[in-house]
Amino acid sequence: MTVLETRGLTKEFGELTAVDSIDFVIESGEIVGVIGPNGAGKTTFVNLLTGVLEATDGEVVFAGESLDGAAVHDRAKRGLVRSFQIPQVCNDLTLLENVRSAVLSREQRNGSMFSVLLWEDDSRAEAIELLETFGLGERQNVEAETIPHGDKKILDVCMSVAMRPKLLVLDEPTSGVATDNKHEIMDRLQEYFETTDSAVLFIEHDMELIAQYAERVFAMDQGRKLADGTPEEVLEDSTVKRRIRGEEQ
Amino acid sequence: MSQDTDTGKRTVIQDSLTTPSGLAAAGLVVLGLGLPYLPGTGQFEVFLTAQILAFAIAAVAFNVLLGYTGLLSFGHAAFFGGSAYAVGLVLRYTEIRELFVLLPIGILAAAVLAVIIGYISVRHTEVYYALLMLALSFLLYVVTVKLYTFTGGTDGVPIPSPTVAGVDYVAAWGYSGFLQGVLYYAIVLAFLVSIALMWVFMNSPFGLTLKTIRDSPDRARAIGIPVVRYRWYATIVSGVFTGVGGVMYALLNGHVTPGTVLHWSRSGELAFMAVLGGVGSFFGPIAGAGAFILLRSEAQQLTEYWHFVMGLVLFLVVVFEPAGVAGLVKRGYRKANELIDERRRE
Repeated sequence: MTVLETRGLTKEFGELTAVDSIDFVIESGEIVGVIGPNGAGKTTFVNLLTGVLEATDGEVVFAGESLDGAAVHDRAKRGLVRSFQIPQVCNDLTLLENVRSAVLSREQRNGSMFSVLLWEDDSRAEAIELLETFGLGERQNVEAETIPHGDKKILDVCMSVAMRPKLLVLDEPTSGVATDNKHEIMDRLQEYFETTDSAVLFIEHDMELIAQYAERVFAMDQGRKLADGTPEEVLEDSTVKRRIRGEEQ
Repeated sequence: MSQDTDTGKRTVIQDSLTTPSGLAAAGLVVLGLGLPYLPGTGQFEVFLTAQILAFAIAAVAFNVLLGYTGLLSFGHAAFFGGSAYAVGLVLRYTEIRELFVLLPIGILAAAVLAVIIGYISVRHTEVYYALLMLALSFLLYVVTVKLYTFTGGTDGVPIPSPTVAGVDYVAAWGYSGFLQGVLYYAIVLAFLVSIALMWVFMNSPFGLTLKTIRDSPDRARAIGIPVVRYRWYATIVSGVFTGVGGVMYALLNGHVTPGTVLHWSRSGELAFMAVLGGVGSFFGPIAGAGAFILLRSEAQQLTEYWHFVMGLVLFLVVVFEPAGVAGLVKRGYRKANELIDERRRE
């Protein structure tokens, strides 16, 4: 089933066309990696999907509905959820509170004023379970401020997952993380997503990770689609080799 | 509600009541209730305590925005004074004298103001929010001063003592009896109910939503929270309870003027109380209101330059103890525990 489709999606910043009429489709359960050199428009593309930026032209169709004019929080509620390249977590809240906030939001309970969380157990149990799935269970009562960068990235993803997304967009899930830990993060994610039918779209610079974890690769350059196919096809594509992989060497 | 939740609730309440801070709080409530009957307390002490309680409601309400939502308001005088004036004008133009009618009218006035002023202000954040709140509340101040035929201008409006549940206690017991036997307890009750309600709100999913917004608005949006709308709701909750404080202040003071309840410096005082008590703590602003009013009362008796004393104190708090009175207490408590542990080991 098609989760998300873009038709002629375009974003112009004055003279610069950062994203140039992109047609893109992702099915539920698919894990797609987005690659491209710096300035290729990857982040702009993702921002257009999640509603951070408004498209100049074209449209995004999500779960069969046009997202025209839908705000970030509205898209998140519908199941189009993102994580952040620089982890955005609530530093003064415990890990449990962070994830619980997302769980409660998904349950549309933000406005519930008369139930005291101290003696309310359903959302707590779900949040603890999620933290345990991602290996943060032991530190559930620690404030997010005190955990290392890599764990914040996991917590960031954990909060997004708590929304039970139909499509999760991960903006460089392993950036700023030590090489040894990159695989740990990706393994945890892969393991988790095998149990759901959520589609995953992730931006990544590390071609090794792309080859290992992506089922499909979408390559961008100068705002346009460069290639779209299996990792083997795309990573061996001569233009991709020259334009994207060339920068790596 | 299931039995499990009830048992859970009971355990949590029992646990928190048996901690030293829970016991201290319970002791303070008992002390507060018995205050008018303590030997050596007269009208002045009761008046001062009632004033502290009225401001404490407003200071905790102010902190719903500053401490929980991350919004600094310089416009809370509008809610405090708006409700006080609503009561004053009703008393002036109608025959209504009943506390249980006046209080809802005051709260409604504060709510209406908070809905309108909040709706405009939450479109912006940080300094722009603070300044918009300041501007709109100042507008209310100016309008009140200028419409003097209706509002009494800078002379304000007198607030005659209300009847309570239909009984005119002033006629029966005299003013002192009314203050110490009725009004004081009405204010204590308003304080306890307001604090309890705000505590529940701040510990509910709503409170967690506000804290999420405070820590990271981007994250809040990414998990589906409509940030602007919830900032608005927080402003309304804060405004309503500030209004409760305003009504209590008006009834206690017996007179309101634009200068005493609507002027922007009133907003500044609420910020002062919250910071003095500690914005990181729910109960901190109560201590802040107490410390502020006692300090001001002493400083005013000591010197005519009392503003200087207050300014110096604020400066010292911000520089040396940003967590306020609550931070001092927490640190003292931890130190005491360490000392006890050391003694035990020896």
